[in-house]
Amino acid sequence: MIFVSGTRIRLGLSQFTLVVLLLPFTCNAVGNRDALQQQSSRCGLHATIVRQVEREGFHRDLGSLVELVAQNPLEWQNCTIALQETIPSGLYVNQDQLMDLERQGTLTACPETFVDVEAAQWQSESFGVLVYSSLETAHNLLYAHIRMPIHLRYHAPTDNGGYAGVYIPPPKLLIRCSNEITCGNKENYFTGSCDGCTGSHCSWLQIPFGTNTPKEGLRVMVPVGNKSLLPIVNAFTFLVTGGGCLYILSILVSTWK
Amino acid sequence: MKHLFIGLIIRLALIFYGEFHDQKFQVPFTDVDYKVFTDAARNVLMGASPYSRHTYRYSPIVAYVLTPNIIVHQTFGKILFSILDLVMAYLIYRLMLRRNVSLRKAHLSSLFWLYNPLSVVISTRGNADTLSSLLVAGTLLCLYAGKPTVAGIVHGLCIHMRLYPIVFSLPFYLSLSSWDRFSPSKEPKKSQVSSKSFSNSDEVPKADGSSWYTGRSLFNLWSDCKALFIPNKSQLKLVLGCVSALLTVTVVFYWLYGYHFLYESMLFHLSRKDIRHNFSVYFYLQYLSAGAVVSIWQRVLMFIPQLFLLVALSFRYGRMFDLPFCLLAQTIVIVMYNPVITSQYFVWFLSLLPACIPMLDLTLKQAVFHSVVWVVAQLAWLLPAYWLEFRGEDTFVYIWLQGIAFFCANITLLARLIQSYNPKLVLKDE
Repeated sequence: MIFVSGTRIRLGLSQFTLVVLLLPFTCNAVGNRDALQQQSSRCGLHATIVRQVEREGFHRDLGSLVELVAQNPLEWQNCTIALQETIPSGLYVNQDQLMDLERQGTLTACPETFVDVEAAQWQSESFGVLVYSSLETAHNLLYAHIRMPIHLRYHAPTDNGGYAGVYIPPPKLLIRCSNEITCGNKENYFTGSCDGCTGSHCSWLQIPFGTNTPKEGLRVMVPVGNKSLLPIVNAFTFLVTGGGCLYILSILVSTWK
Repeated sequence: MKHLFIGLIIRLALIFYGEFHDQKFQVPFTDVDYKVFTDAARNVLMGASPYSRHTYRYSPIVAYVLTPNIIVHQTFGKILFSILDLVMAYLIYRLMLRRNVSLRKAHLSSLFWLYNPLSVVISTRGNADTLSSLLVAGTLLCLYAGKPTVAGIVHGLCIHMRLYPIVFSLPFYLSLSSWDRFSPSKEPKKSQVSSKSFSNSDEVPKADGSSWYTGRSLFNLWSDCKALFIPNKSQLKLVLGCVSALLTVTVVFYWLYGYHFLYESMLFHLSRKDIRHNFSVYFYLQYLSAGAVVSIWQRVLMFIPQLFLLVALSFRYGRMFDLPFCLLAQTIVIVMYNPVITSQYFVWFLSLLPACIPMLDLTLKQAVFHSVVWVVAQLAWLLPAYWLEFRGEDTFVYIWLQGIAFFCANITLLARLIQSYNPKLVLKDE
């Protein structure tokens, strides 16, 4: 079972594109929405991001299909995009796994802080990750398919057990080109690493996008322990471990020579 | 020699398969810690501390040894561990000969390690525990060779590599005791082990021929107590060797890497508490009590059974001849009572099993039955664990129940091993 709101089906790129056309997009309110919209029409860019969490269990992939429809695609050909993700406390990315993926040339993603991969949800805080990708071109469509591995943290047990929900909020979409972008509003430019976790800094422009992600974010369900069972678990566990000890001691005595 | 070669070929083939498997399947073949070693080795090469790799909790020596993983090929470590497996098979062979076991049985014991599917899989997945198993076997060989100082040094290094062999200190110490119970005269009859092999003879009182537990005078009791509590020369050598080796490596690495080394490689293992699912019988109890204050009685109940069993086993099997079995039984106890158990811990007692097999009075059918029960109990745990980890289903209760079942399987196995242990078996066909 996939506990993800939105689509339940794993999508290929073409199916993904189809969904882009069919899905009723909710416009994502990031920053100053009107200012961003004005900037978007000035830049001649219309962006959409289709998001879904792939795979099941504690180890998943956060998939984002970013599509930019450009009035003048030639202008945006030498551009790179970055997704500024906010990873909630219930999830983590494994920095070492991300470094491996970068070495393989599969994905470039940089957590903005040290990530404790062993901590439980209640011992953790949300943190940012910058995910970079180059853009592919198809006519006036520029697109990038990003897949980042994410992992669920153990959550505190609840009175009745079952499942807890983790919500992954929509990212910020940033773009940077080898040629200077002049169409953006001043307040929408950010300074961040150019294309990797270390190295020089570049100026990025934030652009608005439509997405299939609900306002509260993509939901991922994680199983949690049932606290009401604690007395039974306590009693039965110690009965077995204590009994086991006495049994072995009795065997030792009976075989003592 | 032929078998060593075949053993190596099997392991190399599996390492090759592992490379293919990791690219194709969701559940990787390679041990999760192997990547940690490789990352730590990379850090070392860059002049950084191996502990800057989060979750690296081993001796820096492992990272040093595995630097060719970066320079040569990522499978270097797996090949090295496989070669250490072959060395282990040879040490088992030597150990058996030291105990006057027939050539044939010594040979069979080493083959048991060489062709054991579990030892093959564990080393080819890149598990470094063969290293500490080798050091344990090395300590035993030194003790049998009558070199307590060297045994102490090897034991100290072993504790540095992995903390768990620290519990073997008591049986090692007792095996050199002048106490009548542990003297060579109490070794199994017909023993042809040379007096050199148990060279604490200068401190050993002359055997009076009486059984240790019958008709002892008050004087005997006093001399027993003295022998038990006042260390003899061999025991002092063992302790000094162990403490000096352990202190030296600890000081050197503390100087190099500071408190980070001390915490990650030692203190962490003492206070380890992992709420994520694992084989431990205590897993669900710990998860459900997570975040709350753990009561004293809960801590005591978790600690006491283990302590009782470890001390009882040390005194019951602390004789030099029984040492391998003592270590095996103690390791089973440590593993099954540990608050965290991962499959790599099984290599700890698997490496000691071959040296004990000839002394076990079990038919092949019984041995197969107990092995199958143990393996099935593990597989039965893996099923709900898979559904939780890779399918996201709430199977906590089933994992806990399977953890209990696996604990019971371990208890049954240990009880059966103790009942069937008969050291005279190996001497009958001499």
